[in-house]
Amino acid sequence: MSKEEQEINLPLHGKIKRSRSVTEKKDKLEERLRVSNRFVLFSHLHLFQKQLKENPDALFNAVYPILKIKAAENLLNEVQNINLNKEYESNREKTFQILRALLNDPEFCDLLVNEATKKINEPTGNWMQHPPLDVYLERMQKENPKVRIFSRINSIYKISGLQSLRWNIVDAAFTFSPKSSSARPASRP
Amino acid sequence: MQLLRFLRNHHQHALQADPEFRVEILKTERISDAHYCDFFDSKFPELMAFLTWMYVGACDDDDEFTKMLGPNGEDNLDFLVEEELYDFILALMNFFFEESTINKEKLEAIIGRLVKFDDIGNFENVTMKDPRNKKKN
Repeated sequence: MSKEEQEINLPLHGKIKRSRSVTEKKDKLEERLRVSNRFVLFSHLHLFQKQLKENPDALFNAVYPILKIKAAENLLNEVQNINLNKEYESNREKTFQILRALLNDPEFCDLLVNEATKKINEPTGNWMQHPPLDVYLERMQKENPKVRIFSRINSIYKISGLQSLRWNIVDAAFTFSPKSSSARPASRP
Repeated sequence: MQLLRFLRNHHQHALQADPEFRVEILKTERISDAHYCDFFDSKFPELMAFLTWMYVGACDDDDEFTKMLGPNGEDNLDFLVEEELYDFILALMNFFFEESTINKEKLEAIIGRLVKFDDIGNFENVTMKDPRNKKKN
């Protein structure tokens, strides 16, 4: 009996049957994530078929930013609407129960945030207690000990002091942003 | 939600900062959720990509996203199967996070506490209590 046939016989959820091996599915996912899969991504957007043929990279760059923002918004809305302790019938709702449990768990989120921000040159380990801008301000204070404004800031003053500090913050906040040059206005008021 | 807390910590600054900061840095007087996502994405592109694909992975064939990205069908890793859930999260982390140190054992230790699977690896329930239900009691 072939590997595929064996897996067809596995009783998953009582309804769903696998016809491909897990490794094969994982390979498929990775393949899908790769840039080369842009063709698959946009072959379904019929409106853009002409542009797709002419310049798929430009099309991807134009449409993907919108798609990913909508996906992130949808994810957060859907997981918030799911009740963790309810017994759902549909597989989709069960799936979002899992995601809600994961995204609600401090240990998983710590792992996620630390892994995602590892290459960023800012301390993010204490993100639950301190918003990152606090971290930037603290760093500014260390780098500019003579500037009195940094030495007497408190949680309220930090906000009201943002106007005068913003030029420093912009540099820090956008250090790792590809848009850093365009985010900064040409001249100070 | 813990992740929302992280997101809100950022958003809070966007909302509390003076108007000039908002206009010059965020390019808008009143920031929308979508614009905020854009801002967040510029700061944490890997995290945003992870969340995006996590959502896409959770969608079924009836979702508009899945229709745009191509049918999932049997090619999609199934979150309700223990082995496939771990594989999905590991694949995303390895793909998007540079030099990811996460392995299956580490993930099992965390997810094993939160999600209960039966003997053959099928999803049973989540073990975490819903915070909303606690408030009602």
